[in-house]
Amino acid sequence: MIQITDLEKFYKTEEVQTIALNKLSFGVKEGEFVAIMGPSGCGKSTLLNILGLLDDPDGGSFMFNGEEVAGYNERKRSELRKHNIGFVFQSFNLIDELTVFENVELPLIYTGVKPAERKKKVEEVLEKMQIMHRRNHFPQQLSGGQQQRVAVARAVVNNPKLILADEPTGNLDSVNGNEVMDLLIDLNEAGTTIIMVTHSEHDAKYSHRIIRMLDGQKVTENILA
Amino acid sequence: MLKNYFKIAFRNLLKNKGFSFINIFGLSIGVAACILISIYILHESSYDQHVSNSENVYRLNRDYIDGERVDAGIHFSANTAPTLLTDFEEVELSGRLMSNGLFWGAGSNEIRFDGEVTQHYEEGFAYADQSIIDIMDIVMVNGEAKTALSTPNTIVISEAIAKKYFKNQNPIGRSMYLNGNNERPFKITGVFKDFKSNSHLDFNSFITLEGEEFGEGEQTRWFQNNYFTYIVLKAGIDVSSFENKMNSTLMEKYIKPSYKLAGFAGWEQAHEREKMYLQPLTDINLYSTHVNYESSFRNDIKVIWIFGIVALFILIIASINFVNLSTAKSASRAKEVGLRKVVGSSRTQLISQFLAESILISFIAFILGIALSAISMPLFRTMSGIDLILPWSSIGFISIVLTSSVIVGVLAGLYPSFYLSNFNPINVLKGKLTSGVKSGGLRSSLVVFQFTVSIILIVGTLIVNQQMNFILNSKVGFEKDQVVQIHSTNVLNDRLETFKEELKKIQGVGNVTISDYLPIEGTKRNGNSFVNEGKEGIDETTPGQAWIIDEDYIETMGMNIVEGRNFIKDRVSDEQSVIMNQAMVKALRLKEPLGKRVSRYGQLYEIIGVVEDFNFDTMKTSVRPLCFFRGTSPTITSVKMNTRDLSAVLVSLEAKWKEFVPNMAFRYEFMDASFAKMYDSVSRIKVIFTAFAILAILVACLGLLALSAYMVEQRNKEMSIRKVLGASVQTIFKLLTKNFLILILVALTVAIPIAYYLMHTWLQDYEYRIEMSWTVFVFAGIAVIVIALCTISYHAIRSAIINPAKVLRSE
Repeated sequence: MIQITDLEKFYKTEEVQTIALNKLSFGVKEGEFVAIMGPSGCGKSTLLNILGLLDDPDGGSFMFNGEEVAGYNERKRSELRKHNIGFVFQSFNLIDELTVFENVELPLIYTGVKPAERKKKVEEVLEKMQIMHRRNHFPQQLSGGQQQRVAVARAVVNNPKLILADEPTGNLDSVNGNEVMDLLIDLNEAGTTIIMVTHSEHDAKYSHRIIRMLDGQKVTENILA
Repeated sequence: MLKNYFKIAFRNLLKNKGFSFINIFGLSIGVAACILISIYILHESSYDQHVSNSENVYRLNRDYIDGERVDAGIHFSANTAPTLLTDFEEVELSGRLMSNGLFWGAGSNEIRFDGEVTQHYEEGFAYADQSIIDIMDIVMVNGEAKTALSTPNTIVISEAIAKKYFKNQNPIGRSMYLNGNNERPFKITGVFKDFKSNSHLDFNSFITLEGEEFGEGEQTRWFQNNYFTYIVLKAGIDVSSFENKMNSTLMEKYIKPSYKLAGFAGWEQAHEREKMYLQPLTDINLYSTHVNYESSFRNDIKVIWIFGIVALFILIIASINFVNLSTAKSASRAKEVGLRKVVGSSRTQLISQFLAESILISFIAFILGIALSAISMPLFRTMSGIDLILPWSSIGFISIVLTSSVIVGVLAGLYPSFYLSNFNPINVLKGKLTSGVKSGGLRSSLVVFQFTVSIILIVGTLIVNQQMNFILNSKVGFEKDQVVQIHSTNVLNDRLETFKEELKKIQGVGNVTISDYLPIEGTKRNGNSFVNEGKEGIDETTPGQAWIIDEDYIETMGMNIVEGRNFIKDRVSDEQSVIMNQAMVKALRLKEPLGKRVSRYGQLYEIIGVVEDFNFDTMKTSVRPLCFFRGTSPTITSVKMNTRDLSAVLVSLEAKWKEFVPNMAFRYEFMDASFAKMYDSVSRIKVIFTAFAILAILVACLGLLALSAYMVEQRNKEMSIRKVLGASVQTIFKLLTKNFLILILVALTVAIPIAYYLMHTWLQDYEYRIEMSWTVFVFAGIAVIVIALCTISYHAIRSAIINPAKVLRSE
């Protein structure tokens, strides 16, 4: 599903150029659950942003579903993203001014789903995430675990082929964290590909494969399942 | 999609109440100002458009060219209008109108109806041809429009007059007597619909010109110019070629021969000195400031432009608030932008979202603005002196307002939406963009622009006010205070002298004079020609006023004789004498005027005195040549009082009047009030200008208040750390206000030269004008700095005295 080859990314300030990704290569198959680990500043988040088509690589190749997407313009990337990729963030990133229902509904609006269809889909996914009873609340009125469940609901409502999770349990206690991981496992078992960046060895164990990174390069790769 | 946009827009409005208030309220003030001014402008530019066929109706104007100087006149001889109709096939209709109070019956009259004894005072009388009814599309509510003025001694009255005196009775066929002349009844043949407020004509009654002749030969002479002349051209006539033809034909065929016959010097060159042209009817209200002796106040297209620009600037200032606040508080929207991008929103969609939001705000502001303008309409009516109304029912009005709200929404929202939609989702989601510091440069420029406009408006307001006060209070060459004009004293006839002597005996009365010629606009004026003795037919004549006064006039008016002497009562030789003003002496090029003689229409007068120039027109023009002749001009008696207790004197004056004329009301006016009335329209414009300048500054300050709130909020952490490290409250206050003060100083630097240039240009319109003083600019500068400082201080002080621990803990 994903094949990156010699992927490069630099960050420039006025005088210093930092290498975030240094000729990184690996592939992810459809239905896989991959965890990416490494110390702060090793390039994990940069990688995730590129994989999520939020950012552009400076070099190398990025094949997504057999299509070269490195060098796509913003419009094309956004088109590809909204149909194929869902995001889960450490800090949940829900829109404070929208209710739970409306937050989850948002991706459907941008993919042009009809209102009746939207309502059905959102309710389905909220039911699945066991957050239906909170549908008319605003994010500030929810606990951290509940907020992350909403965020996961939002990420999956469009049935994306790929979910990118950036430390999804980082802001949660262990009980809520495990619940979220269970949700991800369920999704993966239903066929969704998941790439997760994490600091937590515990969370990483849920995955099929762990890629460890340092200074923008892949160091080791452990296959768990 | 749109629903989602508006939903989040609404919730954002509610979440940031202060911000929303300033945005919406500021914009609605701008909208209200725009609506009011637009209605005013529409009213002023809609003059006479209701006249059917108005595009073919013209008033005849004439430029008198004397070297550099061009005077525009609108008075023509009695035979001009009929000749235009007979000699030119291009002309469909022509008509004359005469409202000069110099002629009995025109202007104001004491009127009495048949079968009644009481006299009533009424103004607004004019003589008119029957054709004026057709040309001006005057609507008759009673009587025959086609024939109302076609027979001698007929009169048509307005609906207002008819209602006032006849209530529900039919006035048609009744007779009206003017000024106690019982020999000459005027038969009322029609009642016409009152003139609209946007008609350049404003008369209450028209007396027919049929069969009238004001002095022998008046109807046939080509140089006795008393009539406004209107024509209707046939459709499709080329105006400028018609004007050429008209000038050459009238000149060669009629005017020159007539001048030659009268022995006017230089008659051969008359075509170089007089140029006739047509002024479109619909241009009269806004394009006649150059014309002398208009029948009533005419607005100025320049005023319309200035008002329009001020209104637009208020709206721009309010829109700038919107742009500034939106970008300044962008941080709070950053996360939303990032997220929407992550879940698939394209940039276009985000731009549409923010535009929708700004259109929503603009729409709410427009609704509120309409409400505000409706609320302030009564006040604006008083300020403008015009019965303006909001055209609620007009589809045009509603659609223009709606369209404008969208346009303003888009224009004001364009930059913020591009700015906000450009956020990089990775950065904002990581919280890298914590504040709206970005685009500070643009924001600063916009603040500078707002304050530049505000400063120009402050300076403008101050100078306009100074100039008006200068005119109203400066020495005008006569003393207008404590002078009462008693009107209609002509009814006293041969008892007038006795009345005058009786008045002089009243305690508190200093002096009394009888003359209709007063240095106040709207009183009697005339046009005469003068030439030095022995130069008749050789030198060109000098046009000038010939005022009839008595021997008490100069003293009563507080005028100053600079050479020679005043008229002496009962001295027979003074009837052949003249006292002239300095302008006349100069115009006649007299070195030693006393004892010289001057000719007026063949009569010689000896110059016995020279009076210091005094203003008898508005101060816009220089003093024109004028001569005093001794005689009786009986309609107005002016009383100079030498006491402060004016009311007691007034009581005695009225008692004396009742003694002489028991059946007529005592009607008086204070001269200083009449003088102020000359500048009434100008004063109104001053008031409107001042009000809107204050509004502009208010809106700019609202924006500054909100902007400073965000700036301060952004620097809260910095200030707290500084405080922890030992900065005093004053230092912090200084730090926070410094940047804004710099912006205002920049605005001052930009504004002062512009304001100076604009006001300098405006003052050139006035012959008598103030010198612009640097203090005005200093005052405006200090005022803006103080206002801005007060505005900013609210937040700066709050930030400076806040407990730093609180701020740092929440970081």
